[in-house]
Amino acid sequence: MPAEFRARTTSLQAAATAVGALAVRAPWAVLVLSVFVTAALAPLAARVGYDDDVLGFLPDDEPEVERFRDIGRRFGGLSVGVIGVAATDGDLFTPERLCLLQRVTQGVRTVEGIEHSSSVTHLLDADVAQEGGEEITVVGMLIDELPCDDPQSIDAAAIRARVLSRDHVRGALISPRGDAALVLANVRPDVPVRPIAEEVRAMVDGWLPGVEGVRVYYGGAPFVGSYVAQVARDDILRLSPWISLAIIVIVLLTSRSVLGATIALGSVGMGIVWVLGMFTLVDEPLTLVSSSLPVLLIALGSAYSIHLLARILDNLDAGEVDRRRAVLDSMAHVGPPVLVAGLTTAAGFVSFQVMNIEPMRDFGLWMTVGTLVVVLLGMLVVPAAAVILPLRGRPGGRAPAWAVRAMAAAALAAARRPVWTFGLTAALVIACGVAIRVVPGGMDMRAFFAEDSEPVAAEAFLEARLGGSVFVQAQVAGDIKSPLVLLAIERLAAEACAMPGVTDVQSVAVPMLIGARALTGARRIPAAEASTRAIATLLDSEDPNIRLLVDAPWRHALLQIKVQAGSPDTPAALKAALEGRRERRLAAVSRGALNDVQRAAERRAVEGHVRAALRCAGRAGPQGLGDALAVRYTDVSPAGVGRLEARLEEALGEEDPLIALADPGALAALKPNVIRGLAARTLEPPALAEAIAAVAHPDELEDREALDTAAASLYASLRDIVEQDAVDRRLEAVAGLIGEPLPERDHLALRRALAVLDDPYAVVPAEAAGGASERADIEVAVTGFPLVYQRMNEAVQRNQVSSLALTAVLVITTLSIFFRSAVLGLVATIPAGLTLAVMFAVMGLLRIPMDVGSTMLASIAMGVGIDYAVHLAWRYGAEVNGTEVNGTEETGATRDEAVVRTLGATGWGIVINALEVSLGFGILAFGSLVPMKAVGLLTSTAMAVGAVTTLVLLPALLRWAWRITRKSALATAQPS
Amino acid sequence: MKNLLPTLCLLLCAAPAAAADDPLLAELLAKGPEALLVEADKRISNFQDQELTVEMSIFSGGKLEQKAKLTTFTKGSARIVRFDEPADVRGMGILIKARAIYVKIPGSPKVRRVAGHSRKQGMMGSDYAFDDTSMLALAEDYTAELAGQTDADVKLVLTRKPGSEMNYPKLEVLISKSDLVRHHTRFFDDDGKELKTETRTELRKNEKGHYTHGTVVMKDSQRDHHTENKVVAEKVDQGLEDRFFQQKTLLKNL
Repeated sequence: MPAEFRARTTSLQAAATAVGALAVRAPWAVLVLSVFVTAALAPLAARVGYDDDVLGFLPDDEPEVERFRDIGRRFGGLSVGVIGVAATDGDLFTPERLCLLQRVTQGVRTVEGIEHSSSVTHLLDADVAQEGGEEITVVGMLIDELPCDDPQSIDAAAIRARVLSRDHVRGALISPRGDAALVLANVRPDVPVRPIAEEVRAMVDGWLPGVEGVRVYYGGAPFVGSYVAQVARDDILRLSPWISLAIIVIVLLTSRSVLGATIALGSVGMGIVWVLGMFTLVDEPLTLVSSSLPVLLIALGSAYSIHLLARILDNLDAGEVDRRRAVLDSMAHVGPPVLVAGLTTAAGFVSFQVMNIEPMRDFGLWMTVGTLVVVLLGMLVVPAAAVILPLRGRPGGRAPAWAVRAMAAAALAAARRPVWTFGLTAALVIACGVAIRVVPGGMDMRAFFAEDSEPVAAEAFLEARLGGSVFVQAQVAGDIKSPLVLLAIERLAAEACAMPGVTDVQSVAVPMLIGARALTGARRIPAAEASTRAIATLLDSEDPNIRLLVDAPWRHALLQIKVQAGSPDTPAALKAALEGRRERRLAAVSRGALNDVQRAAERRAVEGHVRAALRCAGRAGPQGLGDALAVRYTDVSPAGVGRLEARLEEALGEEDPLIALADPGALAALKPNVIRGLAARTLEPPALAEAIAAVAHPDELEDREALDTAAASLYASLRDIVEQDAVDRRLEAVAGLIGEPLPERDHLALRRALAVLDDPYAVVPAEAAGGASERADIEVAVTGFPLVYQRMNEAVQRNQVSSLALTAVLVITTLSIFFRSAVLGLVATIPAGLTLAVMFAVMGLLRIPMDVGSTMLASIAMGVGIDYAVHLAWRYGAEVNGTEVNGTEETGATRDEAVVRTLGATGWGIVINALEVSLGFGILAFGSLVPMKAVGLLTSTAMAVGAVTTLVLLPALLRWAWRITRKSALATAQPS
Repeated sequence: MKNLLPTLCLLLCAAPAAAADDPLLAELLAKGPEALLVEADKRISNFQDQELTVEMSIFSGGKLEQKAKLTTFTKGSARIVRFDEPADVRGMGILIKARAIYVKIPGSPKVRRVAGHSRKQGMMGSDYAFDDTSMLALAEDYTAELAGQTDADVKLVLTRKPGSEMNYPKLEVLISKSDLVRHHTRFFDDDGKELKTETRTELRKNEKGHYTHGTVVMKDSQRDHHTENKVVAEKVDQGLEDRFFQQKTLLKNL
């Protein structure tokens, strides 16, 4: 080491110079070793894995992730792939298209990792038909297995009529016009989703050429995730050459040295290969965040080598002919700020260790390692290569004189008008503060993808025809076979359906209703617990789709709630509404024993249910509904009387009677009394049995027990008619309040809500029930991918705030130690702070959501701000205190001269780096994914703001700070 | 050598003697396969009425999926199935009579008629369709053809008669030569694809000459799924009247 350098070094300079000296002394060894290590790590870097598990981004102690995983395991996965099969000519019900639908549903199940698939071709169904005047139940599949080897034998028109007549299917699995259908594919939990989605897609696409007039759309989390990964990969492959070219051209144009540009970018490239190779070495995959590491290292790391190289070229331009001396000078003067900037940036990333999100901690750790690696390589490879390669000086320097003049003029103008400067800065900070507040928190898929992208097109189609492909799940824990809990589930489903942004709700209540219709004839879940338990047990053994809605022990049920992708607030609103329900504990109180409080509580609950059912149907709840529900009917309408008479005729008449009468004419006398007693709710089963026994055939009296049982059965069916009559009249009252007749579908939902008012017991909140009553407790937990993403982003934001706070402390402390002045430490941090503020403000203005990606951008803003500030402040101190160039000591300059000289020496390096990265990354704006475009735009913004703040504002701040600190700080830190 | 003789003796004594053919076999074979099938039907349905309680175990992928206990009352073509277990379906009853099915679930005082084609559907998730449980006597619905013999069995191929409403167009049955009882059945669809197989073991014979298999396993040939029925109790000829097989019986707690 030349004596003049050894004599005047500080410890940092000593370190930097020592590293430079090593490279100067053995440049070939350094280069060969670096290239060898790079070559060894390159194959490993190419093999680096990728982990697309977003759940890992939830904090370690986040209950949301445990809940999501628990519920997912219980129900075979909550990740629902949605395949929309659409007929381009408007009719899906042709034999070939139905066969395709059946094939897709069956085929998807064969893909490893798919737990279950369902569509209209694989649904259990129960219908009611008339046969010989008797109502009979027809149980079977909604569509019997299609004989696709003989398509002519398929009666597509009959299938169309049957499928579209099912309320619970129409609009949910088949579009109301019959031109599109859904196949739902549930992906098992804890399996990599992307390959499964890709396999399903390849399989289904392979079948399409055989069927004309069909288009397939892929939606839902698995397909969207797969699309993102694929498009991001394609974008990177497509745009990387252009980004590299742009960076190379900018560095070439600004440094005007091919070799210089090669050296600067080569060292960063080596650093990236090393870090990615290390990932594979320790068997660590890239994650959603750490996959941005190469981009970050280019943005941050290239600055280090460019500063070193710029100084080397400056020295050569100034007439230095010995490249070794030029290199050593560069290391002595630029090495310390490079080291400090690198260490400070690394310290910033160390602050990620306070986060409670493991992948973010890992990201911080790897960025720390990555930053140190590129600094080390910059300080070794750049000097070594500069010694070996024939770099030439350029008389007149590289920085255009006009550029230096412009920078100096701007900086001096800012410095000479402190009130304006600080006033404008303060205004900028306030404006940023306002803009930051409007940064969206939620995630709307349409904001994520371009308007013409596949997911947006698929979602638009699926939303228009079938309610969309985004699912939120609400788990109800309790004794699901209990009629009380089933009623609670029906009410929760109605409440969910009534919320804005919800397009469809499926729950176990739907198959239970189908089962009840099949086994009891009524369109409601039975009030008798024995019946609901039996229906549930039969469904469990017969319906393969049931496991998507209820677990095997029937202790947990799931509401599958479809929400519009364009309603990002709906999932959180659903969570608040459903989990916040007060009715956690329900009780059944005998209707005869109801007191006023209980009666009012029941009415409130029924009114809530009715209002929700009306809102679900797109109608506002009418005034006076509570009063309408309070009416107790003690008579039967003429229509009801007709139905009662018909039932009595059927049961006690002459043709195949349930109970034969001795004299068929006795029925005429029996009917009025029975109907009167039923209408007044005074007739009980034993009284009916007695009345019938009095006129029964002697054979019937031989087995009195059988007669009593048959009479009880008859009583139940007569009561059904009376209750249905009451429900009909209440429905009429509701329609009267609304002012228009209700369509059939709304009728059914309202009928179910109203029917409970005539049950033998009332369901009331347990606290209103008093002592002895049957009780059921429920717990509601809402989860789903939209909520997980939301919580993940919230957690990342929370963590980012704490991490940035710690970063600020660490950075200010490091810089204060470096500059030996708290004021200078603080001042040097201001460009980074402003860059961050402007970047978040731009996010707010452009409605770019705060998410995991913003962490990456914050890192860029912070790193860039620190790097530029350290270099400029360092040089400014050197200029003010007096320094030496090429061994010639100069006296301290005035502050204005110092500003001009500083900008002449380091300003151009900053400009080169800012231009290179911002233009290079600006190319990402041509990407397909909105977040990728945002990364491009925001990185460019961060680089530009970082550069402008440093070049214009920081000199003014340094002049001011210098006045306070005098020569106490930089004076001792600088080589003087 | 000293020990060899007693050992050989023991082995010979313990070895099962080859079961002798039933004395009627030759005569029936001479008459033709139809006669053999009629006799085989008779031997397992030789009763006026029957009350049979079985424990049904449903297995999927070799794993026990569900257990149930049910009692079937049979007289002629009429049957009532009463579910005893699991507790949630206790008291459920099904009446199958003259191609009609009536169902009554617990808690409901009503009987519901179910369409006849449900007879071809599975029962409680088992490998049995409602119709399978009534396939004791086959001669009425199938014509028989001799397909071969082994030392132990006669193999018949049965073809559904025109007008029969049985589920399966073709069956292949093995009838044991020693007791003339059908113990293995293969069920085929219209395309000749094997759908399932039924294996009957643990043959018992009561004092009235009625045969019952203690265990019957129905296996789905298309997937790893089977149902095992173990007979818990059997009563025959209790004098069940025709009027027992009515909807009203379902309404009573059977």
